[in-house]
Amino acid sequence: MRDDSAFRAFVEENGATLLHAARLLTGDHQRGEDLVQTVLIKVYQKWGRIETPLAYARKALVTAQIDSSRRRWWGERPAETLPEVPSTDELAPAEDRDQLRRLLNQLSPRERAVIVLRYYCDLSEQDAAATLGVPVGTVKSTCSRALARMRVELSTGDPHGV
Amino acid sequence: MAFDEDDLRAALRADEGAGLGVDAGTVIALAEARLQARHARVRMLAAAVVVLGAVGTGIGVLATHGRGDESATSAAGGKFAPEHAHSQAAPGADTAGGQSSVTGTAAAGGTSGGLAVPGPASSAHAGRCPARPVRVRQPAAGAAGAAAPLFTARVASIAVCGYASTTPNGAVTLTGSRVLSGTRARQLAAGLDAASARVHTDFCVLARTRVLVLYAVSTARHRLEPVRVELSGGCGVTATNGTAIRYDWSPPSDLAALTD
Repeated sequence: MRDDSAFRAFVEENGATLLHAARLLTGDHQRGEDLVQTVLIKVYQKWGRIETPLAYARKALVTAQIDSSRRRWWGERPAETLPEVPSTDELAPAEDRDQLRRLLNQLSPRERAVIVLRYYCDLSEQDAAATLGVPVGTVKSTCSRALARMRVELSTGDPHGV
Repeated sequence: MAFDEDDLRAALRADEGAGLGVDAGTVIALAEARLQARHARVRMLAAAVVVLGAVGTGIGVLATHGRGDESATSAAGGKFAPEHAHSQAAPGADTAGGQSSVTGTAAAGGTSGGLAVPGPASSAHAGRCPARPVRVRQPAAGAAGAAAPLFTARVASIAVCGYASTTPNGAVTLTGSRVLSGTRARQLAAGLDAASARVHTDFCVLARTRVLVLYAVSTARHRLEPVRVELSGGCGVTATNGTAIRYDWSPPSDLAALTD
């Protein structure tokens, strides 16, 4: 018999964080909500059998997102309006944040997962490696490569360049 | 413009908590619905294994004793005796009832690789229908899955069994049957699925019982859950497969006539 009240408390405490992480991982509000719902259903079904639900949920989140990105191509979608052309002027803080978020969406799913785990979930390199199921060295190199890519693209001012 | 790790953290945390958030109740309801669906699949698989085992045993007995051996034929036939199948008209027992009709269907409607695929529309399929309408648990109003499709796969054919009583509390007996296939079957399934999933709460006076039971077979030749349609008098029409439910559907006149 599952402890529904404990699960409800877990969702109350961590739901918003997981939802935001899912949105960052998918780059889309709707898909983020779908992803976190799928993950929480898995957590509920295993509730009582997992020792650290939050770690399990994070792992399920990044695994599901990386798997779904392998199955479907989300990288190119038609848009009615062209994205704004970035200016080289000094950007206001809010615009900086938006630009960093846009750059995050251009990273590969694994790079994005590393950035989200390290800088949003504040996991150590060891914990991020355990969550992703990869060696610590892979997390370090992936993180370094992702940050470098973001910096280069930010400095060139071309959010769509590679 | 350059950024450091703090800028990145701030950017990632922007808009945190925006939106409606996650509702634990919804998650629990969805998880329970998935668990139930999984259990139902396991039960169906187990039932299929039991039936296959029984068929294998019957064939083995026949092979051992020869076709002319009356005792062997009787033993094998006893497992699929119509009386046995019809006496258990519940959804779980329908597997047995369905298997008893597979032979008749295959003979009348064509081969189906072990699963019943009814032939063209005909009124000569009364032998398929159990003597009593299958009992299907009606889901509670607003239950998870109530608005889900009644037919969970693309329908190839539907055997419609009609039942009625002569008085409100009288015995319900088989009054007619019909097999629909192709476009007609798909139209029937689509029409039922398109009916309202909102509960019908009007008070009514129960007239005599009139029931249709729809046994559908998918294009992949899988037997779908039977759908029981209550046509009883002025109480409105209710159709359910035990999980999904529809209200106020208007049956085609030729199918409604099966309960006359």
